[in-house]
Amino acid sequence: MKKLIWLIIYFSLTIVPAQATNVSDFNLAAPNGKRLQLSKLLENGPVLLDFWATWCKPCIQGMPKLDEIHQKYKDRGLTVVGVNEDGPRGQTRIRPFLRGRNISFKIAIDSDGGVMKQMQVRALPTTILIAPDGEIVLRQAGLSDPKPLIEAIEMLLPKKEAGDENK
Amino acid sequence: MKISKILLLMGLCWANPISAQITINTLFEMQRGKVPGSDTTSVSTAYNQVNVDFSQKGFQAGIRAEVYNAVGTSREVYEITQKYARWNHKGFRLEVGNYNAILGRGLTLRAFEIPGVVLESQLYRLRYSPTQDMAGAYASWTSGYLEAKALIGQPAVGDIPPGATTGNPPRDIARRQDWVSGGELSIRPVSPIRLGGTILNVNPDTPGDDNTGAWSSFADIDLSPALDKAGLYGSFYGEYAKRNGGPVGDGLYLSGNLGGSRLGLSFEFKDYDNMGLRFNAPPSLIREHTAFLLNKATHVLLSINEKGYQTEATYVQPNVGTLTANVTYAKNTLGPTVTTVFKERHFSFDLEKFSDLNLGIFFNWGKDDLSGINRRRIAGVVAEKKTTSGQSIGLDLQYQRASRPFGDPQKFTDAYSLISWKHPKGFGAALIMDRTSDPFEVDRPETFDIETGTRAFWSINLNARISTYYDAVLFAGERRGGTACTSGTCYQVLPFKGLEMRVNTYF
Repeated sequence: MKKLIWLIIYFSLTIVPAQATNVSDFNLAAPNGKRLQLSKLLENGPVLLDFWATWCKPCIQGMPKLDEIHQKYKDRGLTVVGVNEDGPRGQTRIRPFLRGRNISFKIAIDSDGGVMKQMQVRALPTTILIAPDGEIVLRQAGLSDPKPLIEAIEMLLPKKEAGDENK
Repeated sequence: MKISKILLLMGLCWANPISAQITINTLFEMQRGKVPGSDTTSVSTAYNQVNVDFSQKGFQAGIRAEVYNAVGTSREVYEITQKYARWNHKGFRLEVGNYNAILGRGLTLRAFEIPGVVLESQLYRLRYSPTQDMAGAYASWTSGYLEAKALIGQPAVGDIPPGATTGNPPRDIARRQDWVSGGELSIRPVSPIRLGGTILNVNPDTPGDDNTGAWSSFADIDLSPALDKAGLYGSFYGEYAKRNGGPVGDGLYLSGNLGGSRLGLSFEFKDYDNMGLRFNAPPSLIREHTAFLLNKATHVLLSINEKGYQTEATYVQPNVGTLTANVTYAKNTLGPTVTTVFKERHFSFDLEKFSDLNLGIFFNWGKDDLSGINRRRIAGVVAEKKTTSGQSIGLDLQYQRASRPFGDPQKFTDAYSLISWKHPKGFGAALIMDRTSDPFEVDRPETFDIETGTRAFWSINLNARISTYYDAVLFAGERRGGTACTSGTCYQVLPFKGLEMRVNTYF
């Protein structure tokens, strides 16, 4: 067993971040019962996942900025999804929370924490930007400077036509 | 040996740029220090959790290895603690191996883990990631009007670490006991209403044990379509669970919300009697707190008998702030003449007027008989100011006055202060001072004397994010042990004095 473990550690320590990491699919319920499937969302363009909970202060602090990003880039194909990690009680608590704050991006409820585990999320908030081909382009744990995120989004989205600026 | 070959193959796949799609994530934590009261000298320990995942379209497979080594002791663990294969296709999901799952709201079954938490077991003195997952098979299917889940597996006993042994010569302790099988079925006769039920059967490993089963039925109603015209929203959820086939028990959980554009209300009610099934986790109905002193004072649910409610009102004034008021009550009947009560009132205000300033204040008071606290008051202020260069300075001040019906002195105070600095590039530092006059904390277990007065715990935290692939946290100093909670799940943390470094990697 020791040999096996050391083999795993060897791989984990010798690996270099040259490889793209592809995300696996998930299907979660929204607060209204409708389903959100990652692969379908990716058909429209990049997806920004934000793992959050109502009790997480830094998550709340970061939400207005995320909503701003959603408003700015939704027409260019970006989908922002707030993946709620309140657990089984999430469904009851997130609506009063979201409505008052005018959060307009999509919300998915990860009631068993399965997607959090699948995405190797270890801290809240964590934002993960996924390219349309499933590649994880950026991962930010904790309340972070939005500049690298915005730069990465701009890289993924189709460039604006010169005329679009005046529209 | 077989798994080694698979790993080697996966490694070769990784080395070949054509195949890709292998991710490796590690959580490495190293300590040099001691657990006051347990260790006489400093010990160097290392914990490493390695997750290797392979994904190809809707298919994903992976393993988790946990390694723990305390230098100079016999405490070492090398184990593959999780392995799984998962397939997602449209609304269908199939998992074999270790998985998370929930039936209803968790009254009958909830298989989960607490991500990012590394605990040290006081009994076995081993460090590990706490999990209450299942090992077996799980399938779920969702369509517009029908949802079905079926599962079979062995649940993990969350507080037994991998590698735990007992007796002389040492024998491994089985972390997974009994086989659990069951499922959930729900239908939506109309879009806003979901009706369903769950059923579980337990086959005990030990012949002669009571064969325990459980079932529940639930209703989930979205009232928003009916309330929308009035500019309101609302929902209701109710679940009744029954434990049978052995010890009898039942549980009732009700919850709902109602609100408009600015004011939101939520309420929850619980009545659990003998509903501790080892593989379930009925909703606790206790407000989750991130503030250090509040988090430490969280009431821990006793599913053997607990009845109570929680109600919360949130008022948001755009461009000004959010006001939150919460009332929580729980009562445990532990015998014909033994009852304990938990009460909490919480008020907080978060200022949201300035883009460069976050300010929150809170006031919280109550009692928790189970923890021996018959009165407590906690107040705090948390502020963070951003400078024009993007750096930020934070201040977190919390103060508690509490009393116990026993001990000397009965009244004590806690003061927690933190000053922090953050750089937009992803690194920061914090200085923490945690001072208490709690006689149970002031008295040092490692000395024969009985210390009195106050005791301060000083520490510093340095953190850095190095690209998308690494982040690291360095802790130096001393911290208290006791209750800590994450996402409403509470666990015991051992005190620690020394140096600790955590590195997360994501490839």
